[in-house]
Amino acid sequence: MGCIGDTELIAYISGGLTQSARDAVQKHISECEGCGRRVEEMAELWDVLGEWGVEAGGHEVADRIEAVSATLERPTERKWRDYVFREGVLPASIRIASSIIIAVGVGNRLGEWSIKKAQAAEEAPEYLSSLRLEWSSGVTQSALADTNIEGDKEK
Amino acid sequence: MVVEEVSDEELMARLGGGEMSALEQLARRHEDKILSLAYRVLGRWDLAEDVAQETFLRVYTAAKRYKARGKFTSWLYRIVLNLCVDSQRKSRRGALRLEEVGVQIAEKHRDDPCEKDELSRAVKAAVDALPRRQRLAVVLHRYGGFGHRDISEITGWSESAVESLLVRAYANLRDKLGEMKDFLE
Repeated sequence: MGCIGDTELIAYISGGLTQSARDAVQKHISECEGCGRRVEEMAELWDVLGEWGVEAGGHEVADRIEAVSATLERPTERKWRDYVFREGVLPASIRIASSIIIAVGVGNRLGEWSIKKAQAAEEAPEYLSSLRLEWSSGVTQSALADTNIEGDKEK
Repeated sequence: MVVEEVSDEELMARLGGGEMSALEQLARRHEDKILSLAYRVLGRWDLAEDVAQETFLRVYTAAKRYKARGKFTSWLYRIVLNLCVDSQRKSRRGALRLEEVGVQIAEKHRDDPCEKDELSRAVKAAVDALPRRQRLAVVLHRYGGFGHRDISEITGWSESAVESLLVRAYANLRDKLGEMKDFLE
């Protein structure tokens, strides 16, 4: 076994090692002066830290809990209202509904805007008329209109 | 006659089933350790009492949903630690108000019988002076008796982070208490 790592040293002093690991450390420190000194220092620090004693008795928290528990309701099976109002289900559904409404509204606006843009584009640009040229989309539109008329006639 | 002690998990199951005396039993079993731990983190008994009381009320609230996935104590001390952190945040917000009553707080600390001893106060000061995460790690390890893995479960930090925090914390404490040692002797 090599020299003891810091984490292993802490675990050794705090009693957090398995018996076999503990034996290995003990064997090593009996042979390695440096690690033996480190173990002594850590053990001393551990003891000094133990001097900070705290007396937690006399605070009667359990007595208060006993008194309060008499007034508390027994934990019971949850009702649908608990899930809806306490688990954030209602706010979540409101958020989802709002998102859908906003998405539909924005989609509708975008649709209107794109139709208006398309209609504006259908008007022949001025530079074409100044050159006495027909605008292809206008031709296409009339061609389509003719097709529709013919289609209507067939009916 | 040997009375078999009921496990924490069994008491939680009973509490979940509506047996309110289980809450009291859990409180009696863990009260001292929770109070000590909260006091060591917060440095005030009144705040430690609030944390302990609130912890058991949270246990009661969670009893029905509680599922024993890990150790009960890890789950319990996670609640304690979270409440301590909340309490520290509130204390920081109310720092001005606390300064106004600083005299009373100082008096209360002086009255603590366990901290009359000079060495005890020096150790407390050294632990208090550690960075927050190192202090929490040391309080859980040295005074709570938790191992690296338990601390990792309680705090949510990785095991390697806990090990690294403990190594740095004990090194800092060795330096600080080494400086004080000459003064105390």
